[in-house]
Amino acid sequence: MKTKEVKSENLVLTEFKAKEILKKGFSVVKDDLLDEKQIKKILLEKNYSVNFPVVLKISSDAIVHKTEAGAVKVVYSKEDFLKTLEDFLKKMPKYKARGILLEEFVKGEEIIIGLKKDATFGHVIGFGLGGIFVETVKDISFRACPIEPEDFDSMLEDLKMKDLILGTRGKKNKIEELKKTVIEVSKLPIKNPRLLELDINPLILNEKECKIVDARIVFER
Amino acid sequence: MKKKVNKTKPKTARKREIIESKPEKVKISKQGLDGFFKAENLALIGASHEINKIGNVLFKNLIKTKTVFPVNPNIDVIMNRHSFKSVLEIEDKIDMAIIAVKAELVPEVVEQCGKKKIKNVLIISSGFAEAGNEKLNEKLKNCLEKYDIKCIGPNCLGIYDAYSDLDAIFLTQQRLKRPTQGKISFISQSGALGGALLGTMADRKIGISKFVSYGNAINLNECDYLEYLGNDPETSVICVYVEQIKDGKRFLEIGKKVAKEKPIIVLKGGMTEKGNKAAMSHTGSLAGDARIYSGILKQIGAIQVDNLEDLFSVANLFDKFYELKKKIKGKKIQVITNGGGYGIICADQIEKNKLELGELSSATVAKMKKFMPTFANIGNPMDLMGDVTNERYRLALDACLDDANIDLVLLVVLYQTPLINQDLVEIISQAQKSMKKPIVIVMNNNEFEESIKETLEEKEAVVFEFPEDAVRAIQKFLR
Repeated sequence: MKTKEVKSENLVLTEFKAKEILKKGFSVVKDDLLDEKQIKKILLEKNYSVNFPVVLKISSDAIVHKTEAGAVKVVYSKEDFLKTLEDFLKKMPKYKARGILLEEFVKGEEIIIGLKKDATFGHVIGFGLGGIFVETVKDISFRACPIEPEDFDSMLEDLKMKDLILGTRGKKNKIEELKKTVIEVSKLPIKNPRLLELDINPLILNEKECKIVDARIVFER
Repeated sequence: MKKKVNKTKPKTARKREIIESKPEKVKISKQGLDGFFKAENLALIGASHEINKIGNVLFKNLIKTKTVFPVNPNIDVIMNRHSFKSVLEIEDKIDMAIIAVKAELVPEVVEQCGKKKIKNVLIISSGFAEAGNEKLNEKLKNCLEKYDIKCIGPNCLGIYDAYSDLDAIFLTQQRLKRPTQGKISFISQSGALGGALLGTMADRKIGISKFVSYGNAINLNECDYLEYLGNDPETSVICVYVEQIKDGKRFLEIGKKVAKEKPIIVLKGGMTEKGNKAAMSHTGSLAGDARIYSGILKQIGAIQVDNLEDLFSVANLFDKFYELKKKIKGKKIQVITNGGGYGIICADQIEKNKLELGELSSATVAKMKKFMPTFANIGNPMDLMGDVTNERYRLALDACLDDANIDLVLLVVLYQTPLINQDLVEIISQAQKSMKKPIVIVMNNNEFEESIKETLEEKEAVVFEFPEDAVRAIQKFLR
């Protein structure tokens, strides 16, 4: 979803902070933030225990597109892990980073869920296939918040990429979980009227689960 | 330029004559916008004696059925009637004032309407927010608020009601025929578009109930019209042309309520970036994100169409098969044709539009085998072959209409084949009258078929020239 320029007086929460808030009601990937001190310790001792693969991200509010900035990497081995950690540590000052984020690696379809305050209809919610599809196909269906279960069904029906979301080649994605998530997100403005924007991008959907990987929240001050 | 009038009568006498001649019937209910649509005593501010001026066209249209008090301080007489200097000179109670004066003069005449206790004004004049004249817009708004006046417009074509015989549209009846009484009502942000649809409806003999072109929507907006028509016993089908919804939250609420009772068919203008820009200078409002609009129209249960043609044809389907529609559960279409290619195109379009080709019951197939040529394929599409007769059409049509596996019949009739003739119209019309299932006809529009098509439409049949237009409309109708 296109992110409009947000006035500076609004409160913008990205990745780590946004996910902390979402963890209260949604399934979010497990993560751990390592600060500079911890990173240096790991690099020195070389015996940090972690399950592979794991995602490493430079945690910073200054990076808009992490992949393009080379600030995200999926690592598969201890060797790669230590090397990436060292590499990212060097980049940290440039981005005024607060640390390095270790994230559980989940594989599946990338879904985007966006919520925003529309001038005409108030809060509206949209979802569709994320990643490159957002830019190319612009395949996102919108409704006014809050939505009912039948609204979700009809939104899914709107999407050209519906079959990919449902799961192809014998795969059956956890569509019920996605449905629950989208409906719950659509209810957030009821209790949080100051919520201006919420972008969940991506949420990973597969046969077992549906998990939020990254998010961005803007509150009106 | 003053018009010559009978000078033997003093002005006051003429004035009295007009007042005395007004009909007794004054029916103003407090219900919604009846104050506009059922108005009987009208003041036309900006009435004109100059042929083809807006104030003249309106006057001519209105005086045929209503008591009209022309107001124009610059002339004394309009079409042999006394012209009032201002509404304040009129002694009678005025149900609605219609204003067609220069924009700068509008706030002042509205002020006078307020003093005269006129509660409903229809402002035709343009030159407000749409022309960037925010100051004047504000002034008008304040004036309306001060006297608690309901306002349609400004910058609009007017309103029409086929039941109360109110013709407050500034297009001449010679240029734009008015439709007869019917069930469809039309709310249009654009005047020209509304006018075009009225013309098409009149031509195709489709009746109308109410029409409102509401322009800038300075205080009454699409929600008010939607709510009114939702409660209007004279309206069964609501068509809407809108560029921007003014009150989104209310639209959601009212839209959901009304759509449960009546089909709402919406053509949204400004779906593209360029179109959106054009909308801004048209009625002074941005059109908004197209995807959000589409989603919200679905959410309330409205039917969004992509073009004028579909707006008209989907409304027509609802109009003709309004009661039948309530009974239809599925989307199974039976195609009957006398041209193979047409059958194939219909089948393609049916699949493309996510409709289904129905499967006739074995009993129907067995019945049909008795009268069809042995080599004919009794399937779907059903090809009645080039040697088809009126009688074969009748048998096929009757069989399909009686089959519970079919929801709607798409009937292709190509007069290229020599053995069918005009009598087929009566057969189709009889089948249509039985109202077992909707029948949608596809027929060429060549010289030979023209009168046949007209007769069919007179008999309330729905006729399309091309299969793709027919199926697209059916898809919206059965959705």
